[in-house]
Amino acid sequence: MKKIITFILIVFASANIAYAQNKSATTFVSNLVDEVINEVLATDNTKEEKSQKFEEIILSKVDTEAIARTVLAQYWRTATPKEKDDFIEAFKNMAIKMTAERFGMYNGQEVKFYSERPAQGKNQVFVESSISSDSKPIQVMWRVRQKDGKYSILDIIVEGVSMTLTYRNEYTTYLQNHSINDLIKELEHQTQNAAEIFAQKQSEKKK
Amino acid sequence: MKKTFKIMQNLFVCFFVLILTACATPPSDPEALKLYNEANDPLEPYNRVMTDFNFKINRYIYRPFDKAYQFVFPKPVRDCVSNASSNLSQPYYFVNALLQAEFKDSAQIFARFFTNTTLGIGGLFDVASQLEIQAPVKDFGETLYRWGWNNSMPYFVWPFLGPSDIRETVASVAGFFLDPTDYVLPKAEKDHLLIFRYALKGINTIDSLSGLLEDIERTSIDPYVALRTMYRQNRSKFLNLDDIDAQTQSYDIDFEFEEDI
Repeated sequence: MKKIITFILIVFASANIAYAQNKSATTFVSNLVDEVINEVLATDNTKEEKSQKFEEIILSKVDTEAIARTVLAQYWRTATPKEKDDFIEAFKNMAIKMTAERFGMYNGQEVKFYSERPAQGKNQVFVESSISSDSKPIQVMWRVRQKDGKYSILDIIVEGVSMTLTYRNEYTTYLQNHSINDLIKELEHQTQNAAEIFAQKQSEKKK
Repeated sequence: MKKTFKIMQNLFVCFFVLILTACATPPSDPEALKLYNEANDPLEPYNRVMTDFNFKINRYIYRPFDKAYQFVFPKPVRDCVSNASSNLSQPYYFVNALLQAEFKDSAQIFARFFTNTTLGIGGLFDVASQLEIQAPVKDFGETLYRWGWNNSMPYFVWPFLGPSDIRETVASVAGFFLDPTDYVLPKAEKDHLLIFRYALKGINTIDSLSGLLEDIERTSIDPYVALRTMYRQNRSKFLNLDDIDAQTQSYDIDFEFEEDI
């Protein structure tokens, strides 16, 4: 009898360990979400302070370089090192600024995590989650890559729409008739005007 | 009546001639050709013009309408409109669940419709969701997809209605004849219900999408491509609602890390 109980305990314990290991990407995303909510969204800091903290978190947890490389697709191969660096910088700034302008939309939504699924490429998984909203919950998938024990985000997929794939389709179409420097200028322009673009939205919200 | 019909007919002919003459010619450069095939958008010149038109309609008609709507009606009222609109679509979803041989879904849809029509006072309140009676949306586009018409479709943009493709267009037109409520009710009531249903649906769609459209228009380098790719990805998710592995395929792109090769 004792043997059986010990056996069951061992099975349970090892199952638990396996579970914890498999779900470590989920833990990474869940910690990231908590960090953004507790240290940025739910604080009373000014918009500048929030943006700065957000940028800090993003730069340490999102593989912006891999994303920038992927969105340029075949144009990355022919780009000069300077163009590559400038593009990464411009793309990063644009994405962070655009997201920061949307902070006002946070309204105490909750995030729940479900399963993990393999993605193409070594050590990459999709972490499935859902965010509560007024009507139906919104499905969000996080593409996470593990390298040397460190995790990073490669893509965020909202209701089936991948951000990386959308940027890639948009930019590769644009680059058919424009140079990478044109694209960089466009992105810088967007970053500068982000506040203006969203100013109208903010005033709507206050009503 | 006959005259309006004639005008409508002429408009339709003009519309289709416009579409046909607007076909793009495939590029000769192999990289460009690969992109062209991936986009699967032979009607791009027409679609672009129509998308610009729709963005303008959104900016000058839908957005102001939506703002006024949100200003005049409080959230609970707007929720009732959304619930009623959804409830009136349930018979259509029910038929499609049957056509897709998803009998469990059709039972759930029926349970939802019955609960909300009775306890939810004609569908104004979504009591079913509170009782955890959930059911998926089942439209005729999905039915055609499940019946084997599941290859990638050329993109097509409708004036006022926005992104679609060839299969969805066929499905929407056929869908007109598939709604069981149209066959159950007497003619006069049927016409009233039809107008009422489409009005609710229109208001609800504008309310849920016009803000997003405005966002896309303002924050994209190429709003046309952004909208096209978003529509396709979202639709692909919807068509594979209960098959997450099929869903992930549509956005599982290659990041080309060296370790992968």
